[in-house]
Amino acid sequence: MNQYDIEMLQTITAVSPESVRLYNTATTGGSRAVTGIQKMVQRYVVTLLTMLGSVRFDTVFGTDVVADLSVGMTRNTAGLSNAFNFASSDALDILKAEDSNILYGVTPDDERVARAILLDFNVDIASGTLYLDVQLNSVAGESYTYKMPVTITRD
Amino acid sequence: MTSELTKAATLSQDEFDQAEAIFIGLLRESYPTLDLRRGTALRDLLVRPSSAAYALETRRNDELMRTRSLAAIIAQPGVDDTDAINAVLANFGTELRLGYGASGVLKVTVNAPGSYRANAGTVFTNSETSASYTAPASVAARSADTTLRGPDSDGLYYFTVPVISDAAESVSEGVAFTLAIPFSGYVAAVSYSAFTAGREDETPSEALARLPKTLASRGLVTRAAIETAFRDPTSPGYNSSVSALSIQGMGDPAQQRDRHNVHGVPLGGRIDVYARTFSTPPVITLVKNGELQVDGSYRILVQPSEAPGLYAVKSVTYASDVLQPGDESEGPLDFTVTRLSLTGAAPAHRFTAEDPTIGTVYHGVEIYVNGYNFGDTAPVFKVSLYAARDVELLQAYVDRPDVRNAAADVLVRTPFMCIVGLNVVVRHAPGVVIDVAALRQALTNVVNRNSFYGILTMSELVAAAHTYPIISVDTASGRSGGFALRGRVVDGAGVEHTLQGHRIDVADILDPTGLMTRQTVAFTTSPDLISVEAVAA
Repeated sequence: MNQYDIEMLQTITAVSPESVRLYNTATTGGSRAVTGIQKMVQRYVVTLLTMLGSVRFDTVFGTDVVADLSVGMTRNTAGLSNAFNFASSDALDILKAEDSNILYGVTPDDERVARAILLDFNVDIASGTLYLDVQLNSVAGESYTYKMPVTITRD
Repeated sequence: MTSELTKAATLSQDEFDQAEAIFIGLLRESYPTLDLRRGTALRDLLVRPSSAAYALETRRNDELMRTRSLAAIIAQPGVDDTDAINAVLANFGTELRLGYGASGVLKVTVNAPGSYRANAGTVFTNSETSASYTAPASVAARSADTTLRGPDSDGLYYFTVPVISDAAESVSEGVAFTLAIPFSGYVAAVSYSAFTAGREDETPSEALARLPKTLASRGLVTRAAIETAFRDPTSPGYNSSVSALSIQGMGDPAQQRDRHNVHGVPLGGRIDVYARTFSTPPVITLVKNGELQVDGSYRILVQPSEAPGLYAVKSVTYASDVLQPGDESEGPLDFTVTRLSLTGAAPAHRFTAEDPTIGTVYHGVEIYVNGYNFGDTAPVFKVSLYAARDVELLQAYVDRPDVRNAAADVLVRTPFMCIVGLNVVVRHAPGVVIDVAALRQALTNVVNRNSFYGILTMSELVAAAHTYPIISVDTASGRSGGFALRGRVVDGAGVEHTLQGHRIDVADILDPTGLMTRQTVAFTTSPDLISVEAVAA
């Protein structure tokens, strides 16, 4: 049985039309329900980009990647890759723990992340945004590459 | 408390986790297709805020359950929520009785004649306990109008200052006090006589025990109803000042005012309310001039208005004397007492000539000091009286037109104070330290809780002593023994009775015509009347 979440990252394009089928409004661009690999990508991105300690009553949820990038700890490509890989590993641990919790039912293979690989990155100086190209592979064998925006400037 | 019930920031992790687990379970049961895992939008936008709200609601519900019952509140040690307790008690038309502090008179000694002034708010400190005492009103003392007395045998002058405290402690005569900022000429300050001790706030358990009495109808008809009238929270605070009541009405042995007929049978229409408003013996101290009589004695007149609720004369000394514990050199003077006849305006309550007025607001005395030659026709004396001043307020209350009984004459009296003294020897294991002061206070509390029961036994005192780490109490009586219990009480006719033994019982001195029954006597003592010797076994 598929389980649904609300669409947050509308730039995720569904791999197949069946992945996105529910709309709660007839208005184009309104809120949608997501499932399948689209939901998998969304959960991964939310988990990776949530700053550790920022969620009340769940202070172990999230990773340090945003904090590391925004304070300028990464000075080169190797540093960036290092920060991403540590944070991605933490995010995958969190997702796996949730996926194996029977409280939430059985998680289908196309919603479980098998690997996350940083393919490339580029920086938009004008907007102060770092774009990470991350390839996500599901346990079912599907893969999806998502360009993840990370704001690295401070107000 | 309100903020803790409404702010999510005050929730604990456990409270939130429990609420979240319940909320997820309920949601999963109804909507199994919703993905509620961490990392989903539903988790962030729906589950977390709703769980916090549910946790707060659970806490509010717990608080409601906790405070809806007095028994539940009492069962939680350490919970001190007076508002919650009073909210429950309000359902029964009552509230917690507040405690009150000790009060008394200080003797302030100065080194020269002149004019002195203790302003309202002047703070004196008990040198033994560090409790603060405040003068409620300004006191001016001047040589010119004799408010400054002396010189005494030390060549010093003195005046008296009434003080009150928030501390519910006992203070003996002669205890030294300090003044933070001494004024010019100030020498010392001591308690002029034993203070009237204060009382701690009522506990929830005590309130629960007396709750049935608050359920009676309001009217001066039955004993329960009379007590309810005194404890009515709309009355001016008597619920806090009265710790025990004994009502003597038609047919009761101690009700003699309704028997004045040829057959001596009770006809009703008279009620005597014995109201205990004190823990340790309450004392009023007056400075009075004596009047030389033709027989060489000196007469001291104490009018009823000077000592409302007057029960007995404690002591008469030279005005300048302050007795130190164990000091026999300046002991009290010998005196006799006669009741002051009721003259002038007829009181609002009926007495015949033989009715004792003792303990009422109509009781005055003439004190005769015999066998001394003071070389002065009007020497000055210090007169210490056992008198419960609150009787005046209580009598005024029952005499109020909207309160007073239309069918009976209700008179308020101070209970007959059986002043208890106790010597006790306790044995303890070598090396064990016994807090003798605390033990004396515990024994004092046992005695002072005993009102209108008429019997005080060694057993209850020994039981209290065994709450301390002792091995045994020497219960042998007599000169060589370790336990001596004594009580002194004056009956309505002014006759002093002494009780002693392992058990003192008012029934042994029963005298209804002198109003002496178990229902009119309250046992009372103070720590300085209790001697405890702790010896290693």
